[in-house]
Amino acid sequence: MKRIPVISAVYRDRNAIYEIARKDVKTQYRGSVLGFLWTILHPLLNMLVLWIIFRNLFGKSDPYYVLYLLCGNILFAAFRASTDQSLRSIVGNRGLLLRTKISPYIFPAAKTVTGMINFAYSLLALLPFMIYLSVTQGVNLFSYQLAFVLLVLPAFWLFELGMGLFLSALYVFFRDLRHIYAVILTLWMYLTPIFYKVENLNLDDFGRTVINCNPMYHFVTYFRECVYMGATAKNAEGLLAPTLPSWTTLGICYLCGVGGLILGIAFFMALKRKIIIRI
Amino acid sequence: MDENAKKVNPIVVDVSHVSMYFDVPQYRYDTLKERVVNFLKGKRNRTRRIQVLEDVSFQINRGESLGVIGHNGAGKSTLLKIVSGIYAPKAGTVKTRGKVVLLNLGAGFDMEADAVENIYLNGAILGFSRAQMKKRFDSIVEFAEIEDFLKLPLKNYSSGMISRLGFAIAMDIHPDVLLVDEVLSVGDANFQKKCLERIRQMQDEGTSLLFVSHSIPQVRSFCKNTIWIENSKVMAYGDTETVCNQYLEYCESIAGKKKK
Repeated sequence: MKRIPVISAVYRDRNAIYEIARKDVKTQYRGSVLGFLWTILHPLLNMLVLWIIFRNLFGKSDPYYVLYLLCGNILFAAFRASTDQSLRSIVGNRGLLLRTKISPYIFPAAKTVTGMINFAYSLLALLPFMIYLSVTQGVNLFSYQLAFVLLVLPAFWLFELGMGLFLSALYVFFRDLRHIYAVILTLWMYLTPIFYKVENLNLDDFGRTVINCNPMYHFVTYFRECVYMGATAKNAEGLLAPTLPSWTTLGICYLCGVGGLILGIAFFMALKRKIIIRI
Repeated sequence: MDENAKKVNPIVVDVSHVSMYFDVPQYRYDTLKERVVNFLKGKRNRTRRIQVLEDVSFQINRGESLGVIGHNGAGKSTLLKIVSGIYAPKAGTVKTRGKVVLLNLGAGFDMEADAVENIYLNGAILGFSRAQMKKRFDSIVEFAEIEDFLKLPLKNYSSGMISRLGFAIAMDIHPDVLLVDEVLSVGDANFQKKCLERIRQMQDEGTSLLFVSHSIPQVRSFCKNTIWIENSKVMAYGDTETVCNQYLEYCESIAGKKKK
């Protein structure tokens, strides 16, 4: 394994990636009174706002709609934060890159690791909503399906890393990419079924293709199959019957993750030498 | 392999016919918008080639030191960056053996983080794990004399303190090749003395040194050989005494011309 160039590089740089990610997590909320608690509070408050707003807009008929909404939102928020921070990471560490021999890919890699840690904390913020629903609806939402979320996390991370490598390298050459990407993210978010359900849309073939080509759609779908469907799927008699998430969706997620990473690495390698000169 | 290989082939740095240039565009376009606008306007962006180093060759044996002298902008720092691997040369080859550490001002530090975090960060960049750095931590802090400021972000440090910390970490890691870029000049007299003693001790232990300095006495006291670079070209390379004398004569002749 260590003979493959990419893997041997990651193995060599493992300490640097770890230290930079660790430093990021620590400095994230430095100077705020509540400190580290913000890592959990931030997604929690965010979700509370969404819940209050959307409960009254769409959620009247489905009591579990809040769970549907939060699953999509939590995942897309993690993707947004991770890639947006990766984008700036190489330019932001200009000083370090020009004074030490350190491979530039380490910075987006560390940012996505930090992003995954933050994502794990934001999952904790789902807990109060699940407890609330369990109590008010009189069902146990904590089924074993939840554990299947873990299976998709590596694929999600690989996809973020691929995007992070691509964006951070491109940002060195186009400093307005930040603003462009912010617009793209907004568009991307609305193309991903977060607030709405695909089955409620009257999509033609083209619309269906667009939705299917969106990797985030598959990640969100799998994530929901674990958390939301696991709790709310009903059998023929109309009773709650937890179902397993689909293996096909998981397979597509891994295809997106590995594919995205390969494209990201290829793009990064092509620009690698120019980055240090241009930065 | 180690001991025997080193005896057979004691060359630890082999720089051969290295050239470096930067292609600097006439207008620097940093955004996609500028690119598109200028493309539509049909503006052509010519690049100007800035030669930084031209056909530089030298070798350093194990435990030996090479001084690098020359005026500002001669290409000395770029040379060190090439030897350390930050830049890839446009022509020629650089071969190094063992652990190479580049010591320049603020190298490998995050100014927002405090000294503790920076020691681990710097160590990690050099390939050391947290556990390995923990063992070295106390001696680094002691040598840098920063016990009272460990929790202070580095941006609040003086440049002398930052250089002390960088030096202390580099010393503790026992590099095979130490590239020193003008860091000693910012420390106070006591610390300079301490560093110079330490460098000498490391030389005895087999560390090779590539020493960029504007202090001719320091170069004379450390380096057996010296290379003098001026306007990207090698003016002289050889015995320190001879090269330094040539350099000082050249400096005087320039000063003389300016007076006239």
